[in-house]
Amino acid sequence: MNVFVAKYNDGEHARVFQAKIKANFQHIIIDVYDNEDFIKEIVYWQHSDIQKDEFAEGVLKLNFTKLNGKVASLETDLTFVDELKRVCPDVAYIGGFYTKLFSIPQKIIVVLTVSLIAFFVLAWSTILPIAINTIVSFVPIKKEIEMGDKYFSQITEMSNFKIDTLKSNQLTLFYKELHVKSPYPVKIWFVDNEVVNAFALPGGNIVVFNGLLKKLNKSEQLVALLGHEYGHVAKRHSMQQMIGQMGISALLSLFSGTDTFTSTVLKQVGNIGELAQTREKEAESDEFAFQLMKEEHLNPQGIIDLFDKLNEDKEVKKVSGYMPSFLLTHPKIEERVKVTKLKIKHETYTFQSNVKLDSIFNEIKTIAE
Amino acid sequence: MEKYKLHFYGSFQGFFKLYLVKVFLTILTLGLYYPWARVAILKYKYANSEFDGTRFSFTGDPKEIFKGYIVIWALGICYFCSKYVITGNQIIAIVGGIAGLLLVLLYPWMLVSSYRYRLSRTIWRGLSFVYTGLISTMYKILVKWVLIFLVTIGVIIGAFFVISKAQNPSSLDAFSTLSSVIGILSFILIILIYPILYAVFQVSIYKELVSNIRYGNVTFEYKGEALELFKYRFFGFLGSFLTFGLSIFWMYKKEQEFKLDNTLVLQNGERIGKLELYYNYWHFVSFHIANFFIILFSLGFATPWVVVRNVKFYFKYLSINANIDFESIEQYQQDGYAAYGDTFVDALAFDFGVF
Repeated sequence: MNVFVAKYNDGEHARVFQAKIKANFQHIIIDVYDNEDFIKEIVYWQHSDIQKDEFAEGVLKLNFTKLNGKVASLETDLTFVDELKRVCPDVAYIGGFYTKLFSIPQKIIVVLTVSLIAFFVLAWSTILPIAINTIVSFVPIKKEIEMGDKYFSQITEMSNFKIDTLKSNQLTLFYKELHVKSPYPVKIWFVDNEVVNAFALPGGNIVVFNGLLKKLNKSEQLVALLGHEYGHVAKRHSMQQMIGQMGISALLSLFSGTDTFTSTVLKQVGNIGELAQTREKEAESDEFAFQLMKEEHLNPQGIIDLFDKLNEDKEVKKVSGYMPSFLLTHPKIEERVKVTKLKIKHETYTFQSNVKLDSIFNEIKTIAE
Repeated sequence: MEKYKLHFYGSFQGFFKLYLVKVFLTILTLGLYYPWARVAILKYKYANSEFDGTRFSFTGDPKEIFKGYIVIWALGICYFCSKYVITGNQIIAIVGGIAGLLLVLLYPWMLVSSYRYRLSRTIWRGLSFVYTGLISTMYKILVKWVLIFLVTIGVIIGAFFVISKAQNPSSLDAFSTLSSVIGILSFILIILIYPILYAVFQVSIYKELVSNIRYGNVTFEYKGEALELFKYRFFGFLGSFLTFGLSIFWMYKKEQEFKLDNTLVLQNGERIGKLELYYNYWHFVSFHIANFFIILFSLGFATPWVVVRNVKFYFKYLSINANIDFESIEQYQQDGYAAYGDTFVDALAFDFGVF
């Protein structure tokens, strides 16, 4: 029998004794030494009553619950594990779940980590949208319109938007001239603000800021803009986003509890996944705008012009110029221009100018300036 | 006098594996695995901490924590649903207010039961630590300081109104030049008095906690004075304008030292030594800046590494200087404590610094 050096604690006092240990198929036999190097006692631990502390690295720590309920312990070199495996290979406590986990090689852990992240990105960008779309498809359009109206009045109140009714009516009239068949009562709102932007809410409320409107100089550009925004409404993007955000925040708090590590990991993965979806939605709406122009026989150059106008805006340019495309919510404008140009090349159609649209557009422009 | 050191054997690799399992299984089980993951991480931290050649161990059972999480989840779902189901800002505000009030009222209970639970599951050489403090004592401290705080602030504001009214008896408005000056002065007074009161409050809580930690016949005593703590904070903030924030590190370091250096060790009621934390200022600064960049550049993925680095750093510079008679230490008897308080503390992300 091989003998190993160990530290022994009897669980009665906070004192450790030097010990020599050996193992047979039934017991671990511990010779406990006192200060003068004499054997103080010999202790027998039955294998079935021993637990291993699986979490201690670099040492083998064994615990033994005594008849009086107190727990004696033993710390020894890891080489004793080999001895245990040799003498009594059946003992259960040597290889538990965590022991196996800690012995997994680094390379496998790296591969696992990378695939775990990939799995999340995949789940986020495929399973989640499907789930959200299914939920959204159960929301009746009537309810969506109600929610959108409520949301719109909240936003206008909170952001203190100055809405111009006259111009809003003109814009809505312009939109109606496009003859879009829609279950949504679309209303276009003109907000007097220098922001170069526009956005759509669920149920048909579309907001256009003066800053953007001022930049447009052809009716086709406005068609492209409204077509794009209505694309978001028709495809229920805003609704999906609302449901998605509610669901994601609920899931995140459920998954991660309060642990910062888990929630950081999930948020990083989630952000990238969500951004990818937003970009997809923008591309979808661009496509919608193009199809609308095609149906109305309008010059598709309007879309390209609109992108150019947006590109002129310094803020947009600055952001999209420096960031890699997977970190952007909107695809880079250059990319969108490229995609649209390709589409124009492949789906050719004849177009003409629309006098009625032009005249409403000119009216809007005169009041907007 | 003997100088006992702590040592941490945990590794980034080991810790990372635990975190990986935690993330994966917690998500796969829709959060049900979380209590098991939390216990595993605590067990790892304890099992790799060594004092005087012996490892610690944590004997908490995930099942006892699980019960607490069911309560937390139920409350969380109620709160979450209330945000989306209830319409009307007033009701939302009332629900939020009740939740906030409950939190304040439960704070002393959570604090004491967290210490009771955690220490009773902390084992070293077969004996467990004990927390002997009472929940009622903690409530008394909290109520006392809330009252002192309210009265002090009330007296200052009251005095401000009395003085400004005396200046201008005809009007209740307090907008004359003199009363604005008095107003500013009382504001400065509140700004100065609040941190002093807060430091005194913190130190009295800390004294109560430390003096009730027990390991057999070994107890602890805290002798730190609140004014000293206030002094560090005062100069730390004031100096940060001149030193571009570097004095904040100094303040943080001083606070750490204040917490540990003032802790005395007693055996059978007699003072036998103290804790000592000693490290160099620049070492401390570079350590924390490095931690910051590790988290930043890894997008948070290297958090386990920073946790390991932190424990190693403090263990390296912390020592217990005392002549301890280990042979006379026996288990101090205690009742069994439930884990609810500790679970609440974890779920609300409070850190009372037990480990």
